[in-house]
Amino acid sequence: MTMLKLAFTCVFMLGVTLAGAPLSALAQQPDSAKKQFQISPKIGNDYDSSFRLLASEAEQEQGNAVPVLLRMVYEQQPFMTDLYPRLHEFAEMDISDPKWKDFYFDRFAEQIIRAGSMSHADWQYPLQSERPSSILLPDIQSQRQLAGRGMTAWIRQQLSQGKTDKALQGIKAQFGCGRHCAATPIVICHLVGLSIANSGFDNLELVIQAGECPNMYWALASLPPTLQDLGPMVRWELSATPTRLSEPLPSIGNDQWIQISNRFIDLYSEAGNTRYTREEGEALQKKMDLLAKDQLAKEFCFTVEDVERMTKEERIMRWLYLRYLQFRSNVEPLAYQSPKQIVAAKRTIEATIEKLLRESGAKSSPYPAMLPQGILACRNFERRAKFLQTIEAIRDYAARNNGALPAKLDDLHLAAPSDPFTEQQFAYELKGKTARLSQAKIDGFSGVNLDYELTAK
Amino acid sequence: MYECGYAAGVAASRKRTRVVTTRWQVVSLAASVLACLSFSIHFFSTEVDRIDQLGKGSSGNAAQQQSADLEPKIAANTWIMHLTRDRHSDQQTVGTLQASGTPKVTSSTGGLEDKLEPIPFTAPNPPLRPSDFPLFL
Repeated sequence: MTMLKLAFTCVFMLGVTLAGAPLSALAQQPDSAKKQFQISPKIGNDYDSSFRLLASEAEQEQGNAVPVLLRMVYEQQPFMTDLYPRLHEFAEMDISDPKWKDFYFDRFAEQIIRAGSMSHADWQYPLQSERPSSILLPDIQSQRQLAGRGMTAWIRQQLSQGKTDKALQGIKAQFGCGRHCAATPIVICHLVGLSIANSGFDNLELVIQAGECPNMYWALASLPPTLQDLGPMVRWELSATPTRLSEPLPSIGNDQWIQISNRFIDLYSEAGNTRYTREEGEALQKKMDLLAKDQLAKEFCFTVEDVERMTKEERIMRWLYLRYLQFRSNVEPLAYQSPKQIVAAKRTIEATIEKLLRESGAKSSPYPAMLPQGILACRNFERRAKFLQTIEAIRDYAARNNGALPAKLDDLHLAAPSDPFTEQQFAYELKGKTARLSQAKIDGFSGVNLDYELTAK
Repeated sequence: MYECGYAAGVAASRKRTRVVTTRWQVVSLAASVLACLSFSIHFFSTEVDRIDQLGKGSSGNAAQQQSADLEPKIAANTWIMHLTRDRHSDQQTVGTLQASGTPKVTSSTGGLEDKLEPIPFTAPNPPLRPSDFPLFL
């Protein structure tokens, strides 16, 4: 009886603990995506590789893709009301579903395919805005729905009718439109472009497994490491932060520092989307002033007399700006470094920001602390391409060896590419007739790692 | 006030009736209240002008010193005003992803695609903004 009581008490206490725990603790994002992948053997001859996943210059139609993407929904009220909000349902529908006969997207697919093949995209965002964090991007959001989910549904519809060539054309349009969406220096546009390109990769996997798809090894090998140059994006994001000041700075004791300080706190509060109580706000200003007083003299070559001549606001702004310059110097080069180098630099940068937040009591960083993670997310495009390229090398091997899977990646006829995040081949293990290909978990990068179980058809 | 008091005194000294004397005293009191009122209005408006002038820094060294004393107080209030402001109500006017989309865990797409549920189009359209970028990571 006593044991029963004890057991009941334990269960009750566990229940109470779980009920009191934050939901976020139970809803952790999985760090790997498991998938069963059917290998349809197909040789990847290098002399038979005319198909490209991104239109080459010779294939491109000269012109701006943006009006084409934005124009296609004009005068389409019934579509926008009825079908547009449900595109995600079609995008997840099985190829054999009879409901495909009710899906009408050909006219939009035609426009998206044309836009994807165009030479450039000019989105005309007000990049010099006084309030960069408030620039609205509704057009980019709609592309996730049209070029992302809508086109995914259309590709599945083509596969349901056995039209592999058309499905590949749709995938190529998704890569092209992803590249166009990333043709702005705003990081979120790069991430939307990446999400559309990721839909392209998902659809390519589907087409490859359907069996009629040519080997894409060489098409994947020719993809660039990112959809667009990351340099302009990193520079714009760094320049759009509230801590960036216009040079030359006002002299010591100048009245302008008050206005600079007021502008900063307005933009910081807006961009950080954080709210302080009066006491927290006063404490923040006091702590920042103490840090500024200390570090301006010790680290930034100001004399103690100069620091004393400054107002509290001037001290804080000068200190924040000098710390911003340090942050910028460390983050800007990451645009052109290898993912491995970025991961290492990211740890140091994030530790510095965490220390700053801890010491000052600030609830959000005055600098774009998520930028290294954003750069790595953009570099994940290359990782995904190399992973799928490895699968295509395995498909080639299977075609040359009566459907058998290789014992190790070094046995492949077409060289297995390296994972750009580890600079080594992806992890591969053969057990019987099933192989496992996976991306290693990267300490310091919170992304979803692919983990595929491969079986030959 | 002095004139009224004097007149009241004269009236009393001339042995006028008590009613007449009291009337003069009432007039005298009213005049003194008016005088005080007029003086305070004049004094305070002059002071406000002077503080304004100090704020603009158009006076001498003493004025600059007083100005310097005032400015941090004003600036601190601006900091507190912005830091304590409810930005959520600002966002309601343009809508946010957070308001309309629930983070959703998926899939093989690097955690990006479908991270957010599609926007319900019965609600006001919530456009993306550059500051929403951490939602994608």
